[in-house]
Amino acid sequence: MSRLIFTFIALFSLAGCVNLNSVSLTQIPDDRSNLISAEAHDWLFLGLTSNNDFVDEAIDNLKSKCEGGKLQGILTKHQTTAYLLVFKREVIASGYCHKA
Amino acid sequence: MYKLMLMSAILLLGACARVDYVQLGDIDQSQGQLTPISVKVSQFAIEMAAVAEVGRHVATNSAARSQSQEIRDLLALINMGPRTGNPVFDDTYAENILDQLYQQCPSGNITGIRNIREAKTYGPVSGEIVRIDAFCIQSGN
Amino acid sequence: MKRLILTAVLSSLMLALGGCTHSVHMVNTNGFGDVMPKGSTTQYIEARSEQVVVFGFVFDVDYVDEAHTRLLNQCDGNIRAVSTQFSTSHGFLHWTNKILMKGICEQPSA
Repeated sequence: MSRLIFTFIALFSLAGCVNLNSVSLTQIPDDRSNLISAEAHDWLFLGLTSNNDFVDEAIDNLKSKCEGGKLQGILTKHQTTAYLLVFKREVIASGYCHKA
Repeated sequence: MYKLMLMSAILLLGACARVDYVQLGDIDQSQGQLTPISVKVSQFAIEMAAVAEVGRHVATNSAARSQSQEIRDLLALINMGPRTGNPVFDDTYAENILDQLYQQCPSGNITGIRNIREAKTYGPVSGEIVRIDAFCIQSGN
Repeated sequence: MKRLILTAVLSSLMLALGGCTHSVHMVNTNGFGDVMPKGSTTQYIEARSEQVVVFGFVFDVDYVDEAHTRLLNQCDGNIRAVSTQFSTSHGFLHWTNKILMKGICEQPSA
């Protein structure tokens, strides 16, 4: 019985539940040939943290993939995945890069 | 009765404003004069489980207290899910914001958009608000 | 017995008042930057998607991308004045997350 409970706990701690915090979309261009995406995340133990630097990291990652170009149609998702005592916070952004 | 009056007074005095989400867009002051526009939609909201909890506290006998607790637990079960503020009874109240923005600025040349999700709360009762403030660019031609 | 009936009646009343509740988490608008070009045709488009969550077990947020794809599929041109609404409808031991995306499809007239 205790083995079964342990297996269940192990399974649920590995398969985290996702919560969408926010989503936003910007103006979408007609030229959608070059889709780029970037992601950044951090891990929190018991939900404790002193910074939100992963958000800037996501923006920098996206910018670096479209240097000298124009980024439009940006879809941004901010989500949190809860594992056992541990949380994964993520910002996932994608958009269309247009270089003249 | 005294308990009920005290509770009501606390709730009325405790009227608060709450902000859940703010986002600011680009501000373009180069194209012409900016006229402020604003669209605000709100919906009455009530946390029924909290009302039942208040009932539990004001109830004078143990049977009524126990009943309120049962109702509170039942409501918590039937209204499960993530929430921002108090739950509302109609989720379509913010669907026509786009049309309302265009009515106030038919040219569609809008800048400095502030997307705000906020509320005025009075204990378990609140007005859940979605507000879009922006500037309409009067280009002159 | 009397207490049970009273609780059932009160619960039904509260259910009628408190059942089927919703929560609008956020509304975002964007893409109003320029004047609509003359000689172009415009059309309101919208896309919705949902995700039913039972007991809180949910392992992805792909329904956001679903709504996004549906919006894109409706327009080959620019999509301006985009608004995104994220809400939840509550239920008994489950809930439904909803995404609504709206925009104005702008295409040069033939």
